[in-house]
Amino acid sequence: MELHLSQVEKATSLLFVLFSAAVFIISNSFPSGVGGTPGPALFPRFIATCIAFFAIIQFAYSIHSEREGVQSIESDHILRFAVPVLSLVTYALLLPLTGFFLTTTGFLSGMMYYSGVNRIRVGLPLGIVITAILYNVFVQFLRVPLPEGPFGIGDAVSVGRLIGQIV
Amino acid sequence: MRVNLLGAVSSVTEPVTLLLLLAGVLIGIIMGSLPGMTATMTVAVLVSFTFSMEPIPGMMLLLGIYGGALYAGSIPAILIRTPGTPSAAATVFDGFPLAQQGKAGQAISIATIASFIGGAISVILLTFVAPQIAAFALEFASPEYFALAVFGLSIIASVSGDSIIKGLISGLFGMFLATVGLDPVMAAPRFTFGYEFLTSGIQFIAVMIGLFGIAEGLYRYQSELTENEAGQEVTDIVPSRNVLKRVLPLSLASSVGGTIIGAIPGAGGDIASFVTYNESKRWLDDGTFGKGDIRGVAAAESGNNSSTGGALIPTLTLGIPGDSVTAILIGALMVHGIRPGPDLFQDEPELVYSIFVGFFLVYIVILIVGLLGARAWARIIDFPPKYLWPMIFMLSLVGAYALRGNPLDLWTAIGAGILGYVMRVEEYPLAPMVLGLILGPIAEVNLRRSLQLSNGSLSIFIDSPLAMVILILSIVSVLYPVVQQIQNKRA
Repeated sequence: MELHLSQVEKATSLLFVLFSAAVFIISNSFPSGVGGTPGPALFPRFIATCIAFFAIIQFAYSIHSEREGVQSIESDHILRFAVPVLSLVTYALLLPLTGFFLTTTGFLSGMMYYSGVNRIRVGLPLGIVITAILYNVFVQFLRVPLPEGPFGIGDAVSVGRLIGQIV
Repeated sequence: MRVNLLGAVSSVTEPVTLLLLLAGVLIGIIMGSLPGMTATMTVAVLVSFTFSMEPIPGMMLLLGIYGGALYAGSIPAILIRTPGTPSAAATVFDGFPLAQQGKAGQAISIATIASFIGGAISVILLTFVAPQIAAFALEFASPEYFALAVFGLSIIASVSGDSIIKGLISGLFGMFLATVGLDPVMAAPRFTFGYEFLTSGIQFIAVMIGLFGIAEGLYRYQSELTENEAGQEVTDIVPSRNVLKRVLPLSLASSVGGTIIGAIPGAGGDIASFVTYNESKRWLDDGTFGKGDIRGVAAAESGNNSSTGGALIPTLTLGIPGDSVTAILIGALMVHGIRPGPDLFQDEPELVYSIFVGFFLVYIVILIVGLLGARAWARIIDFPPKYLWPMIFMLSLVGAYALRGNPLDLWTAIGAGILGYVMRVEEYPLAPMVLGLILGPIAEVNLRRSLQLSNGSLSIFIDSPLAMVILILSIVSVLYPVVQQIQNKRA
């Protein structure tokens, strides 16, 4: 299956022009400057004008460009983009709920499986070890608080805590 | 200066700081040896490790990664004809033919020595030039700062690769992103849509992690993860005296040239190495350049690594990033509440001189570790990407979260990653966007301050001769590449 994207550069240029128009509309609500000096809208509007100007040039250029035309994207390519993006989004959604350890282990093992580490006996333990190392580096060494999640697994793999128990 | 340098030596030689510097170099060499792992990406992905550190040890780690990765890009360039970093692209021309002739060891050793010379010379120049520029820049007022920011932005045209228009749009979009949040003069919210988390603006570091870590990962997955194999044997690493005699003067000259090019905002190691390689070829070529001339490797690597010290000149003295890595260094310092610029030399002399001393040490470590471990670094090329890229994603996500412990920064990084991927596919360069993100706020604040001082009159920029000269230079630097491109097309 193939997805055909025609006139991509022209479409991108038009998107930038629309974006510039949106900046002008939104910045209407910004307060005006005091004593004749420019207000908060000046700079974003200046940028938007420049973007629109260059986007129009790009549009005109793409009309004459030999490279312009139809780009076809195979479904395989879409999948190779969609799977990592969905994995990243799922990670960001789950992190505050299931905590760092579970989410990270799942993400790493899953992504490694997708990348070609087909044996779960390799991918899963590797995911657990890397997550435990990262957890200890960030939480114990760098003092960066990572979300614990409901099960407190992070605490169980904390090297500092384990050493404390042994001592 | 002497007192400051001595103080910096004692700061940098503290055991933990030295250990971090060494760790940074090792990480940089490992990552730089892997094709496609740029210095910018490595620093962006690992910058979060420094947030909880004191500024000096944190900077040593990042400088180690910066120098190490730029140097190590030469290893895959020589062995498998694939530069580890874009800056090592010119090293391929003579490095790979040398490897084909069975001289991979000699090429790697000369690349290491040339990298050391380039880096060391650039740090020496940085140490002597930067304080002078900073002292001069202390006299700057808002009009001059506005002009300087515009000049930095005007460089976008020359670093935009094939499409200047796309580079300009990318830079302007970066400037726009920097306007999100509270207005710097009146504190009015802009483009926040009522969301409180946007009032503090878009987190620069999270954007950088997304643009250079996540976007690169998405691009790699899209084009399939291919494994590399370094088939060449690395032997005879110690170069002969004759070879050293041939490359030493060229290396020194390339180092000075590379430092000057690196000091131009936006012109990084890739431009420096191509210019120094081409100049060496123009003056010295006897038909051997491109066919395995060791001088080609030396010129490219000295130029490449000397750009690092050069890039730190505008970064530290004016707060204008010399390249993408120094843009992240600015971001890392800002996390600690430190803003680079001329005041930095007065407010934080220990930090500034520690950067000078530490960066010099980085190159000494690169020389030793590079030569001793040449065979081991060559083997890193074989590391399977199926393990690597999931870890890059992971470090990017954890790095973005660690910024403030806020899940919203994760979303910023993912959003920037998708944006960066789309921009890359559509051939919009990312470097101008970074310049826009850093320089946009400097340009806006100083423009508006200037206009407040002059009651809204633009004559304030004409009244300052320096601002006027810089603004004219900015116009020239935008128009020159455009005219050149039109002329090339006509020809």
